[in-house]
Amino acid sequence: MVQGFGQIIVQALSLGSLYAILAIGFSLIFGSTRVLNLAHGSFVILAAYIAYFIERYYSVGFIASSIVSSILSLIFLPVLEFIGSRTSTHKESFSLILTFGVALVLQSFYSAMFSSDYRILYSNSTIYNLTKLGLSISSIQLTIILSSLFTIIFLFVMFRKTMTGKALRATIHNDEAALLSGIPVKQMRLLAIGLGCFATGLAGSLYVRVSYVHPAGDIEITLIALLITLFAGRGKIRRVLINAWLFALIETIVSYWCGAKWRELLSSLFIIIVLMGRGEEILNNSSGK
Amino acid sequence: MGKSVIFSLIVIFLIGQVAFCGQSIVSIGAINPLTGKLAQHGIEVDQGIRLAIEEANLEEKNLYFNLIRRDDKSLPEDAMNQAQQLITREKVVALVGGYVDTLVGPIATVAGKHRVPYVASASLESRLTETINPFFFRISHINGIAHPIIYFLKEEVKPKRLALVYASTPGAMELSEKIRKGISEGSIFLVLEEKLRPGTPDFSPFLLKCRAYNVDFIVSAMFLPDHLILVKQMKELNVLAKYLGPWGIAYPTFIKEMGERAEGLLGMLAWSPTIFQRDSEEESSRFTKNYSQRFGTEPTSTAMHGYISAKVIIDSVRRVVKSGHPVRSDILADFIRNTDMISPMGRIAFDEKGDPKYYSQTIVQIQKGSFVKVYPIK
Amino acid sequence: MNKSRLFKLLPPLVWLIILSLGWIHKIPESFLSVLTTAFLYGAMATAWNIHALSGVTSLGHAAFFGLGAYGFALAISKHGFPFWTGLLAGACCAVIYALLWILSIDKLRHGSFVLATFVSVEIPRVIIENVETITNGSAGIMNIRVPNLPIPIPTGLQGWYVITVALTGILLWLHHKALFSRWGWGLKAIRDNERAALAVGVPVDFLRRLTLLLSSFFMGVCGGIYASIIGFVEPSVVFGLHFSAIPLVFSLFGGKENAWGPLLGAIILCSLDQLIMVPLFPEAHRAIYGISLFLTLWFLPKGILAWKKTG
Repeated sequence: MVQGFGQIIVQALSLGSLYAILAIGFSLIFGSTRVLNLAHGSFVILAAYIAYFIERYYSVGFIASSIVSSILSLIFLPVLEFIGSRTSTHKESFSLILTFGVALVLQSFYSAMFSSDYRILYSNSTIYNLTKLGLSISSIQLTIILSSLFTIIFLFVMFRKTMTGKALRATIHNDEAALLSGIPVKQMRLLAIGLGCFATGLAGSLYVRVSYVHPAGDIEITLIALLITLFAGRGKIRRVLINAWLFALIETIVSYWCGAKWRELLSSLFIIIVLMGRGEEILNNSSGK
Repeated sequence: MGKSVIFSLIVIFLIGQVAFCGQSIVSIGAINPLTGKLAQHGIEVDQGIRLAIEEANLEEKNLYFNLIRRDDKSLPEDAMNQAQQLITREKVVALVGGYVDTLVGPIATVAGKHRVPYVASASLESRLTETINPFFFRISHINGIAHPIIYFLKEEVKPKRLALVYASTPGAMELSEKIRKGISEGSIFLVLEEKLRPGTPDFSPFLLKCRAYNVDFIVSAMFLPDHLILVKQMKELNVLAKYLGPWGIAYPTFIKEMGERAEGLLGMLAWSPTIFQRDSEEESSRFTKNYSQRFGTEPTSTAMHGYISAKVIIDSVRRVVKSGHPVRSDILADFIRNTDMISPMGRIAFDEKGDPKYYSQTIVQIQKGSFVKVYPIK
Repeated sequence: MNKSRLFKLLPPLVWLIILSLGWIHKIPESFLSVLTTAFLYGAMATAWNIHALSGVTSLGHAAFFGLGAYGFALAISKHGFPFWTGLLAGACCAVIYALLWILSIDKLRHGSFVLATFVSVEIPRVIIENVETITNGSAGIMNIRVPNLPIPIPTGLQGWYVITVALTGILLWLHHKALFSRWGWGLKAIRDNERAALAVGVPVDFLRRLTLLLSSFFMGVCGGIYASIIGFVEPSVVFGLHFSAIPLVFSLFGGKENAWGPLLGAIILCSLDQLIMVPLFPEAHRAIYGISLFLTLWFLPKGILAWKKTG
């Protein structure tokens, strides 16, 4: 049983890291522009399709394809900046509908471009067996865990140590005050959206190795990102990873011991209880006004 | 509304110009999920139907079939609205298509109310025909999947420790129920049962349990995308059980995505370019050729379901015309009821509930990238 | 004076005319069926908006909808209730769940409220999926036979039309009150600034809870009507995210702060989609729908009724 438990932790870690990487881009964009981007899943899917076709037809490795899809994901920057600059005067609900429209358009576009087939990337992953502990971990799982850790640490260090990062944090916290203290808010917002798009691209190229992509598969990704981001609170990058791990751990453990059919029930109860416990705190740091 | 009337008038006018004297036009409506979650298989059904109608229009010059296609977006209320429109506005004499019972059910209700025959392409649940609707017919049935699985398990594989995983959808529930009942008398020991929501991103808890229970055979009533993840994680977690997926495995796209990792998996199909019923070789190869030419992809079992359901209507309309009756929906329904034809999927005839009398799927194994029949052998 | 009284009489009159269409046999059925769906969605959007007017956004109304549908289906097909009592039973299930919301997540606001409501849909859904002896589990309940109605309304499609339009009428009146009555002004104060509202003596908690209960009740009724129109219930259908998100889209499209906004949003988008886009573009209708949604909201960020001055 102990052996089984170790493997569960490994699975939960890799699942949680996937959740985190899906949520980082969403979280950065929500933090800096207050856009609740319902087209986030569609953006991830485009990056996933790009990575898929590059690797299938040019047989390049993960690093090359993830860089290409991350860079190409920057095409969403103007769209988000466009919506974001408009949203600041009209609250989140407005951005919800606009991005919902974008998601619908992209969905049609994908099924016309890429057909409605399900796609998944099977690279020859090596499986490392730790025989003493009875654990096994595949190279894809390792890649996901490391990429999300690396991304979070990178962002964390940038936010804490560099001047740009501090300015960015100030912008996220209170953009009017930041503007008054001489921070170029507009550039900062652009930077944050750019980072968000980049992370989205990375997420796409990882996602297609673990799960399938499909033109209508955007909503699940958006929901995971929304869930983790709201659970962490606005502008809390570190918490994104921790909460994603925690959430995945709960899901995996419940599925193992209680049966998968109770998974959603217990994870929702968990979220509600945690939210009730720290309701006030969240109220203050993710205020919608 | 006025626009579409004018549009259809123009279409009818143009057709009238081209047509020979005395050509009659028969409108048929097709409702399928062309967008949304079920789009992949919905489009396959739709393409099968289109091919059948196009072929029929080429074959016979003085009977023109006008196919009106609609999308239900994988939503029951949209399926209902579109059925209503096709019947009352477009005045179709028959409806065809439909994928999954939640979308077929509402269409069947509307069709029954308006006394328009509806031949469903892919519908499984027994409950759908519990209350008899004389205008509802379908060419597939859950028993055609459940019975082969049960006999295959009992007679061929005889697994010692079986695991059953199924999606939380009505069709998968009924299938798992039937399998559970069917194997209960034998010596097969069902050690693990798991219900999962389709689209679950992670199957490792289930697979770890399979490992813990030493499962040697998994029956997985999940869908194509779920198999993609499940099979992948089986390899990663070193679960060595045999794997049978009644839905979703026996598709060329599945093999295309999985590559050589699909080797040895068991799936089910009613037809494939290489597996078809006796006496239908010519029709089968013609379908394969025309389908690949027309749509640029290899035809699947699902596309064949669409093709045959449309064929049933075409065949019945022709018999109505031959008998000298007007092509009216109530008359057409009577002729559909008396259908008895040989198709690549086997003999097609309906019982008093509208269920197919002879529907049965074949269990296949993926060997060297193609499907090989494993059960029934003869 | 005379003119303004006439103006007040106009909306009920329009509504009566729309309602009476149900008795006219000349209306093509395809049109009637789309209108019924549109009015049902309009009722859902209006019910959702009554709650949203208290300054919070719920993404969990599918829970009320699903419970209403299940309560109705179980009452009708397992216990043989008459139609109206069945609807009431469904709505009561929804209200009970709303009471649970009040007991648990009443203090949450903004992001955490959205999240809590969103995940709360899973709780009744998973329970219904797995308590097979009572609810039939994931298989759902099929062949719901609706008993005859004891009032003189047409049967079949026309009947559904009359019922949904009547329901919409009640909701429109309530929605109007939630915008322009005394307690409606209280709600406006809460939306603008909760603390200030509390300071001037607006019963903040009471009003917000009241709107939630009203909203859940009518959402439950909508669920029951949906179940009876479709003829079956299934957890993945009636608890779908669709039913949480669509009211939001319609009411933002139509205009949240206008009595007719959510309804008009639903009617315009639904009939456009079902009568024109899907028939003309079987494959590409989603893109056109998305573009029109985007452009409309871009130029009229407060909804299509924004040009009309709201109180």
